[in-house]
Amino acid sequence: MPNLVTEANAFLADFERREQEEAGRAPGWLLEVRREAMRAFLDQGFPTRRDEEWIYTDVTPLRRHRFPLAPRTSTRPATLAPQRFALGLDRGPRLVFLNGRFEPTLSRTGALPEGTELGPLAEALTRTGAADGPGAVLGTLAAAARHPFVALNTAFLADGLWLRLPPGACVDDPIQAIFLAEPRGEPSAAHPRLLLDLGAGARAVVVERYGLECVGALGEVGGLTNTVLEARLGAGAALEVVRVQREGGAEHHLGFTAARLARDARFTQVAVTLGGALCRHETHVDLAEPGAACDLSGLYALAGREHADHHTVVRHAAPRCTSRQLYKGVLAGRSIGAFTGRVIVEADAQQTAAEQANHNLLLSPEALAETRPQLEIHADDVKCSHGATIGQLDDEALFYLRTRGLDAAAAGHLLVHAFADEVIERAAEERVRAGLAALLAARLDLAPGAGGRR
Amino acid sequence: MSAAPAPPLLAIENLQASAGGKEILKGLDLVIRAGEVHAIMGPNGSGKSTLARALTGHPSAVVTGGRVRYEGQDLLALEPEARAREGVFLAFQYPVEIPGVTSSTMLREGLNAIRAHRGEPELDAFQFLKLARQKADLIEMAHDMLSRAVNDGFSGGEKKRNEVLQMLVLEPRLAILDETDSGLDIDALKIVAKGVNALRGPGRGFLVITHYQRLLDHIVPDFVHVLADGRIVHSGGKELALELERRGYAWLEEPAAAPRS
Repeated sequence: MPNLVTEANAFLADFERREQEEAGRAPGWLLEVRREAMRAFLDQGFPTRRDEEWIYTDVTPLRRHRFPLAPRTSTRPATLAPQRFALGLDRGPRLVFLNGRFEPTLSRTGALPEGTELGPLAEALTRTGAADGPGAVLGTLAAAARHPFVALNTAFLADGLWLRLPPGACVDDPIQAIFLAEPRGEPSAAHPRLLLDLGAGARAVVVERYGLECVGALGEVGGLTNTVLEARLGAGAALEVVRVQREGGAEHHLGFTAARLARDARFTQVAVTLGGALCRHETHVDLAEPGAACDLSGLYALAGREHADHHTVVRHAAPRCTSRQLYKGVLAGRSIGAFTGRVIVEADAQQTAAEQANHNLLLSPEALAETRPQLEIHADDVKCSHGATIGQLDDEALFYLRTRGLDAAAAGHLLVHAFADEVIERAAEERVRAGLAALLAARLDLAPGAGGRR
Repeated sequence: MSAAPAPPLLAIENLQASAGGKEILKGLDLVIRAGEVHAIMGPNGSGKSTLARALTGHPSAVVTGGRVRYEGQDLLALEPEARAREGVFLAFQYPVEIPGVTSSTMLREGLNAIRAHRGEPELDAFQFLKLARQKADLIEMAHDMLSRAVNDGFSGGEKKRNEVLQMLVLEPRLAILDETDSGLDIDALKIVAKGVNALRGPGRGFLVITHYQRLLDHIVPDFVHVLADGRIVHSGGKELALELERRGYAWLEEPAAAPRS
């Protein structure tokens, strides 16, 4: 594929330009990590739908456009309103990033347990070496050599979230990481990186929010947000990640989340994908030691010609681990929602309990749901289940509600909310749940009073 | 009843409807005036449920002829929710389970839509709850039923009682009860009847569809009609129900089977 090289070279040109600009500012080990990642990206090139992992998602739109690095923001940040993206969380740590860069005037960390490190990744990376701090987590769970977009994220690594909790530390309020794209009239790219390192018994909730902040008359331009999150959980640690994606209907979003769990650690993720021209989110969980547990849930609500593809890979590598997955899609218009869930149970992973479910609600005859469970079981004492459904709103329930005075739209919204609630309910924090319900209501363009409240 | 004729609440003229491609109602006539309770009895398959569905706008009941005036307007031209807002209520024979939607959410949205239609202010959550709890007390229903998902995991009896609760909250002017007595033991039946009787009054009409006379011991009708093969073949007072209980329907169906001009 001769033109593939050319397309990848567009990123190479940006890469080289940036290297020159930042010469002498980034530590040498980091420059080498980025260069290595760029080589890995050029080696792999863009995936195609012939690639087993990408059969539902065609990344051609990403190959057609150039996505230079998003400019550092020049807008007066004071005009931005990050609370719009705060899910109703009015207190607790909040880090805001504009076009991939930390914006201190909109951010705060507040009081944190002793020994906690929380702040912008760019700063943390310059303070530490390759083997300590974020350098010790970077690339250990999301390998550039094995994934082209992880490679691209690493090659353009600039900023993001760094969180280290010492053993036993517990942050009560959710930690918000808000990433806002601010388009400047032409498509550009941001590559945020989130590195989380939880010591034994530490606990935290992280709200990972991706949005679009349009300035003046500039609207959506079809930019790219390409994120990677790596989370290392020590023994008995508990991490909940609430991930909310909505840059806009024309935007492209690629996300890669990887977590490694030590003994008895617990990882919960609630991923809410509210659509874009092309969205893909991968979650890779390594249940590495006995007793680890993960609970992955996802909700995708799409309309128009939006496309979202969710991939999960849960590896049971040790005995007595449990994994639970629930992904639900609400698909309107001509949207496409895809789910692939792979569960790998290794030979040593006896007494594994793994359940997976993917349910889809089609709100239009043109919408399409794809679902693909993949179970690879090499142990014998395991309990694994999976189920998938694709259906429509229940006509009898709709009629019943209408006979009680609700109009057809309000009745439909109530039923869609009931369907989606099962995912939203998995977020532990009540304010977060309320925020998610409100976001979903807005996304589904609910009439006032119709299902948005309970 | 006053001497001056009250305007009919419901006037069904020559109603014809099909369901599942089969002709079910074959020219049904019925007039219900405000303040009256009409019972419709009849054998299985005679069209009782199709009548209830046609009157509330269920898509499975396809009206092929005739007309229905409700308070003088064309009922059949209205969407199901518009009928509800005008004061028509159906207590379902098989209430639908709606997991994830609480009874209070559904009822409050429904009631507020009806109130808005009447030009009345909406009830807030507290006002609504107070009202709904009063009505629940009337039929000895636990308040926590209101915060449970609509009919989800309810027993047959609980579902029927929930239908009556909804009727009490929405206060329809025309209430259609489709075999609300089926599946109820005698105690539950009395409670349901108490709920219906509480709502009886000069401004309301009831259409009570039932298989059994025993419900009519507790909800005493003004008129009893026998529906057979898609038509009302016989009408009478409350004593007709007793006669049907004793003699069955066969003696009434015969005239319908005879050749007509």
